[in-house]
Amino acid sequence: MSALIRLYPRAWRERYEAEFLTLLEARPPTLYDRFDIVRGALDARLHPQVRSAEREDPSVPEGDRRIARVLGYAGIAGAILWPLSFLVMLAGPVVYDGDGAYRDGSAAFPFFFGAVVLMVAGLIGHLITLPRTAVVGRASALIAIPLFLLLGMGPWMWYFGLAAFFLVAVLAVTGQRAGTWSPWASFTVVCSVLGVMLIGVVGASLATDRMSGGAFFVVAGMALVPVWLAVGGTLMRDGQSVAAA
Amino acid sequence: MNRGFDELGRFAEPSLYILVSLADGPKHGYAIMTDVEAVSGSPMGPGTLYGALARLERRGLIEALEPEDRRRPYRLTALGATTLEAQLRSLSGFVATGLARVEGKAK
Repeated sequence: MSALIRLYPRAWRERYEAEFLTLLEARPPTLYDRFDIVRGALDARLHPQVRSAEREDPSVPEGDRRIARVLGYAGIAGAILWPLSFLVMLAGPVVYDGDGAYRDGSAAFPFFFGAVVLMVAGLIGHLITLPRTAVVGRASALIAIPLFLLLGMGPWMWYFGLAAFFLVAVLAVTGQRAGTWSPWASFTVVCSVLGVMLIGVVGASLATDRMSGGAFFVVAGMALVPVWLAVGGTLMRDGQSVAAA
Repeated sequence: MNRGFDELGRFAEPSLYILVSLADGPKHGYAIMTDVEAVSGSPMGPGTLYGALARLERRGLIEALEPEDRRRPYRLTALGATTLEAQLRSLSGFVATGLARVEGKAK
């Protein structure tokens, strides 16, 4: 039975686990009850009613939270610049060289670099608000920052970008466990990163030349827009309870 | 159901049963569960019970008392009592209207 209880979020267990187990000792659960417990655990994760003690961490002063919220706006701005950079790339002139045709997307560089810098700003915001006990999440954000700056050098540094986005997904999941990320924001980031990996695999096997490879690159880039929204949006709603859902 | 109960979604009905159960005095989880089963005639799962208890507690309609052994009793707050009364009056009006229409049609 304790395995089923572990499906509930930590904050919920801290508050209700002892009495819940006492109830189940008094009335051994039927098959329906076990299903009901799983459904209750899913609900507790999707619509948390109990605030995490870590979220109430008084070690994050209000001034720092305010800075983090401003950095959240930067994350949202990145969600505009990022797809804009891909649109500019798509509008670039077609250039022919000895290896065939490609689009010259150099005009998109300022937008691309700007979006990456705004993502870094968002990650700094999460470093400010994430509880010190969320070691994995903080380490992920910290390592992702230089990787994003390397990606900012240009799209050809995509492998650093892929690693950086993977680390943002780790940050989102650990942030959810710590109570600073909502389940939906965390789910969105994980789906986006997995989606990009899938697009990358499909693109690598189907793209026949640089033009078609570029098309897959653009699709993958667009699939990452929700990551900026989640990183920025999570910071902007910080200070309100996740339990507001 | 009024707006306060509407926002409880699938927990609206179990929450109403819990409030009715606590109307005659504090009870812990197991006592609420057995009382609700006796009143409603249908079982309430433990996940549903605690999903509803958490929502009611968060909205200040019930409050937890000091634990007795490992069992924690809950009691209705003043806000909970007012909300329950308003909800029951609303339902009784609905029932009266429904019955009047059904009886009028039967004549």
